[in-house]
Order: sequence, then C-alpha cells, then structure tokens
Amino acid sequence: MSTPELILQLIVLFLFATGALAFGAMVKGCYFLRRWNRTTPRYEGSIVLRSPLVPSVSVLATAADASEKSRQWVRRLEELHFSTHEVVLVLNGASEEDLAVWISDFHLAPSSRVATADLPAPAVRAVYEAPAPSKLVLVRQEESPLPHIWNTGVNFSAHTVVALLDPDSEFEPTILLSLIRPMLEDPGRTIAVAGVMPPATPDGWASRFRALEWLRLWLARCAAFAGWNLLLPVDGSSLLALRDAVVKTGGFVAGPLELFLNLHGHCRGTGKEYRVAFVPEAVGQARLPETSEELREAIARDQQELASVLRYRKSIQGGFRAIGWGLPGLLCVRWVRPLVETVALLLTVVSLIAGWIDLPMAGLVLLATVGLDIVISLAAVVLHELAEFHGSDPDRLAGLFFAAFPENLGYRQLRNLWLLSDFFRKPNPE
Amino acid sequence: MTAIQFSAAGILLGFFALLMVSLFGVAMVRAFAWRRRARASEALQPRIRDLLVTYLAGSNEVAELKSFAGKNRRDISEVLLSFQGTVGGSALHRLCELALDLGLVHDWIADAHSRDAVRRRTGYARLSFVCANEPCRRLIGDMMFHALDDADPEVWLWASRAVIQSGAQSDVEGVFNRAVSKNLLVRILLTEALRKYAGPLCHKAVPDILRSDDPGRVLAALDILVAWERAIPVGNLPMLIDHRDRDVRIQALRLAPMVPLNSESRSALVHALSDPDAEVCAAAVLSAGRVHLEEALPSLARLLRLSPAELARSAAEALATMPPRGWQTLEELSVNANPVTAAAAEGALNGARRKAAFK
Repeated sequence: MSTPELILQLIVLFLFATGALAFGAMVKGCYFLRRWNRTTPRYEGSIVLRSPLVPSVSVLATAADASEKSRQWVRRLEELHFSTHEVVLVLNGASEEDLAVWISDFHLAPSSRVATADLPAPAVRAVYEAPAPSKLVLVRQEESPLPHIWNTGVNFSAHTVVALLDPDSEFEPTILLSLIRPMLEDPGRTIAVAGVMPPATPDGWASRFRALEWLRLWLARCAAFAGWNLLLPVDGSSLLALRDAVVKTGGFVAGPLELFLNLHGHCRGTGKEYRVAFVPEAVGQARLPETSEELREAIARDQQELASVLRYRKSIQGGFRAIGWGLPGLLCVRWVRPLVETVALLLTVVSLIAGWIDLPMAGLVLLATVGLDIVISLAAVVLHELAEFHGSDPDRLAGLFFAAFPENLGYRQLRNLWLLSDFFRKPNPE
Repeated sequence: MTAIQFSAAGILLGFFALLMVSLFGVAMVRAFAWRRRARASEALQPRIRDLLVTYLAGSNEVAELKSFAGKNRRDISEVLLSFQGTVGGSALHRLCELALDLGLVHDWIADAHSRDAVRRRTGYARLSFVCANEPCRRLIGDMMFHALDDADPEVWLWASRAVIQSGAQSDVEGVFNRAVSKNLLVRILLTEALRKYAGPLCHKAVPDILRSDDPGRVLAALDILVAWERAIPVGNLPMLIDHRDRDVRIQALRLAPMVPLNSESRSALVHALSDPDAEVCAAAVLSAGRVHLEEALPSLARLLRLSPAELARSAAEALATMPPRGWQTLEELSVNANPVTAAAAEGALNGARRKAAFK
C-alpha cells in the first residue's frame, strides 16, 4: 500500500467516524426535541405576563450613535411583552449630539442610579432614565471594547435576570415570556437560557444552503448539546442569564459564547448542580441570508466566534475543557473536519493523476466526503420533521431535502475553504 | 481490498440514504395531509363560528351544526374551544350542552384516554372547558380527579382547573395542597383559577401550610398568596417574617402590604430592616414604603446613610412615600457628605415632588 493510499485510508476512517458522531448528535437532538414537546406544558402567556412571581429582566443593548436603526431597536426592546423589564442601553463613546437625540427622543432625565456590581468596565460619564411607562435606562460611557460594554450593562441592571437579544434575528414581542419558562420550572438549577428556531422558509440557493446548515446546527449544537447540558448560544439566539451568576463568574470576557462557557466552567468547577436550558419555540428565529455575500458573512461570523473562544480560553473557567468534550468536539467539526476533507480531496486528485491510488480508493474518498455529507444533510431534514408533532409545509420540506445534493456538490467544498480561512480572519468590530 | 471497502461503504451509505428517502416520503405524506386539513379548516371554521354565535344568541337551529359534527368533528371542537374565556354564565352552559348533544364530550373522553401525548392533552383541555357544566361533569365522572396524579404537567394543569371549577371546598383545597408541591410555573398558572377561592382557602388550607415545618411548602403557599394580589388575613405573618429560611422571609415581606398589619407585624417589619441579608432587607424596605410605615423612618434613614448604593436608593424611595417626615429626612440627607446618600436622597425627593406636583 502506497503512503498516499495509507493516508487516505486513515482520512476516510476519520471522516466516517466523525460523520457517524455528527449523525448520532442529530438523533440525540431529535430525541431531546420530541421529549421537550411531550413534557412541556402549553399555556397562555398572559397568565405569566400578569404574575408578580415572575423574575424581572434587564434587557441589555448597546449603541454607538443615535441612528434611526439604533433607536428603533431600543423601542422594539421596550415594547417586549413582560411583567417587569427594563432596557439598559449602554451608549458607547457617542457624541454630545447623539446623546441629545436620545435625551429628546426618549424624554430622558439624569438618574441617581449607580452600579451595583463591579465587573471590569470603563468609567461611566452619566446615567439617564426615561419616565414611566418607558423602561429605558441609558448609561453613557467612554468608548471601549464590546465585553466592557456588556459589563457596564450588567453593572447597571437592576433586575435578577439579564437578557441579550440579537438585533439581526427575528422575534416576537412575547419572546421573554417563552425564554423565562425554564427559570420558572426549575428556578434552583437554571442559570441561563438560550432560545432559537431554525429560520423560516428559505428562498434561493444561498438561503437554502444556510437553512440546511441551520438544521444540522439546531439539532446537534442546540438540541443535543442541551440534552447533554452543554448548551452554547449560536448566532441568532436570544439569551437569558441570572445576573448573580454572571457577576460571580466575572462578567463578559468576550461575547455571549464565552459568557456561557464561563458559566458552564464555573458551575462545573464548583460542583454545583446547574442547567443551561434550551427553548426551541417559534418566538425567535435566525434570519436567512438572501445573497451569497450574506451567506459568506454568516459563516464567517460563526467561525470567528469559535476562534474567539480559543483566543480567550485562558480567561474562561475550565478553559478548553469548560464543557468537557463539547468544545474540542465543536472544533473538530468546524475546523479539523473541513481541513481533513479538503486535504483528502486534493490528495485524491493528485494521487489519481500520479497513479498512486486506484479508482475504488478515489470513490471511497468521495463516499466519505460528498456521499456522507449528503446523507447527513438528508437526515437533518428528516430528523427535524420527526421532532415536530405536526407536518410542515411540503414545498419547504421538499426544497430543503433536494437542496442537500447541490449543497454537497461544490458549495460544501467551497464552504470548507471559507471555514479554514475565516478561523484566522480578524472579526468585523461591528 | 479497497474495492471491497468501497462496496461496503457504498452499501452502508446507500442503505442510510434509502432509509432517509423512505422517512422523507412519510414526512411528505404527513405534510400534505396537514396542508389539506389546514385548508379545509380554514374554509369551514368561519361558517361554524357564525353558526355557534347564532346559537349562543338564542337560536335553536342546530341542523347545520349537526351535519358539521358528523363530518368535521375536529373543526367544530376547535371552534367551540375558541370561545373559552369569552363566554360565561348561561351562554357557557348552552355551549357545553351543545357539545354534549353533538357527542363531542364522548370523543374528548376517548381522546383523554389516548396514548398519543398531544391528543391526550387536547382531550383534557377540552374536557376542562366543559367541566363548568354539571351534566358534562357527571359524564366525565372521576377522570379529572384521577388526572390530579398524572405525570404530564399539562394534563395535571387542565385537571386542576376542571376540579377547581366544581367549586367544592374540599376539591379546591385538594388542588391547593397539591399545587404547593409543584414548581413555580405551575403555581403561577394556577393562581388565576385559585384566586376566586382565596377567602375560603385562607380559613384552613393556607394557615395549615403556613404552619408547616417544610420551608418549601411554606414558600410555595406564600408565592400563591403574593400572586393573588388581594387583601388576605394571615395570622402568623410576624413568625414568617422572622422565619429561619431567607426565601420565606423575603416572600413574607412581599406579602406584608396585602395583609392587615397589627402592632406585632409592624414591629417584625421594622426588625427586618436590620436583617443581615441584603435581599431580605431590600424586601423589607419596599414593604415599609408601600405601607407607609412611619415607625420605620429611623431605620430607613440609617439604611440610606450606610447601605450599598442600590439599597440606599430603595430606602430613599421608601422615605419619599412618607411625607412630610420622610421628605424632611430626605432633605436633611440630600446634603450628606456621602455622595451615594446625597444623590439617592435628592433623586427620590425630586421624583416625589414631581409626582406630587403632577397630581
């Protein structure tokens, strides 16, 4: 057996093994979702909305200016349906003119509110509050990096739970009512909650490919990880966390992903019984890309988040093992597997031309890459369907099922190259 | 050798692909069935609703409804249930009797016995709705009482609501006693149904639990009382405010503004302002402010001077609710050397004055 053939044999073995594990994770996710659907009671949100027993929530938001988009985002947060919530907006290094716009638009007045936690954050220049019934608290601070902005938000939040919502995701105003449910069901153990649903009906190839990726992500990285209590937020998730737990772990070291890792690491380190819950309800959905550029950006964002975790691993309690095998597993799927797949395909072409391997070997590599990935994508569509107790739209279902073929005949190989390069690309500060 | 590996891998993947294609076929059949059913319902349900509204308005014309009940029982059940919460009194009884006449209640009983969780839940939800009606209750029999031991929380909730609707004191007490062993979400969801019986429950069931040695049950009972948000007599409030469990103390303090306070309760409240636990202290401050407890003025002033910022702010807010002495204290403290005290006092005083001027 020639050396390239031996290498390819090992690669094929690795690809089949990781593929089987990925499939196993999706089955676990499907099982988790079915159980969740079976055991979670449906109820009228209005009862929870009126109850004084529901913990109050501080929704954190940031803005660097007073653009119409920023103000609309804050208004959207103010209009969330919940018994008691406030919006803590951290105005990061904005000009006097921008501040004046915020003050006049929201009728803000200087507030005596002070920081009630001392997470690392820059000096605060002023705090303003809007009169009732508005729920806005504006904290103006020196320009600083994102983790410090979030920390300022936590420092000035007055409620027991903090929420982070993604401006790019689509959510109903009742999202907080859905997200709070695990904290009411198991208040002693639930320290954080993440909620997201796969995006709605895709239109066009870019969004179909992304929708397929979302299904795999949702079943494995969301539902299965929640089943193993290793849940980490994905792009587009809406998040809740107990403020005390955030403060105890030292606040944000980077983004929400690192925060959740820190929460896991802290609880695992102290041996505390805890739960990071997943809410798979249609109140919040990730948005699908409409163009290939948007698709490229979405993939880059995912990958840069993972790269950021590795960069900040020393600041995370438990480091690379904060969620046990979860993070190494994630790295294997998001970086090692694309690398190995790419190498395998290149080596196969070269070896075939040079006559180092025969055609069955090349076929075996194709089966382990393209064939296996097609089957996994088909399984994602089917398992998502099995997880639901009602039928979905047949057009959408068929569209996604058959998109698994073109996805793995060209696009997937290109995406592997993107994943490899994005891992080292500097993230967009916005 | 490679050729064998290739064939084996091909067969394995082919088998999986075939399995997925078969499952996809099943999913497509289900998806088409759902779509067809949804479209049919969309067309039928407005007509059924119109007929039911006419029926509720006093018409005795049920021939068309009966014909729908023959072929579209699911749609008529769904529309009937959509009236939940919007009809009451004689209209509700009329609706329940119609469900009985059309044989829908029998269907729902069968659904409630189904092994399919979703169908079972729907069955119980529908039965719970018609339990307001005596003839329907007779037909349903003991089913709802048995379901009070059901493992499915949703079934348990529907059964509890149905049992509460019967209005018998012992049944309501039974549900209340079970509710205090359930999680916070269930207690929240049952609050509304139990509120109607707050008075009778406060005679025996509530005091019995509040005297219990199990802090979990005491806390759960206090949760329900706080959620009722209505004036209720609680004999042992001072004891609860001094309870060994901090969560019970906090919840008892939240309850205090809703309970007629005697001198003992008032002094327990003042005493709680010195609790070493900051959260208990904060709850005491809020309650003192709500009941305008003038005896608490010195303690509140002390908290405003010496406490961490957030508690000082709460103490200032509480003082602001007690003019003129509270305002006087705030005025004095607004020039305090401690900037946190001064800012909190000034902020609260300005806010109170603005509010007073606005009134």
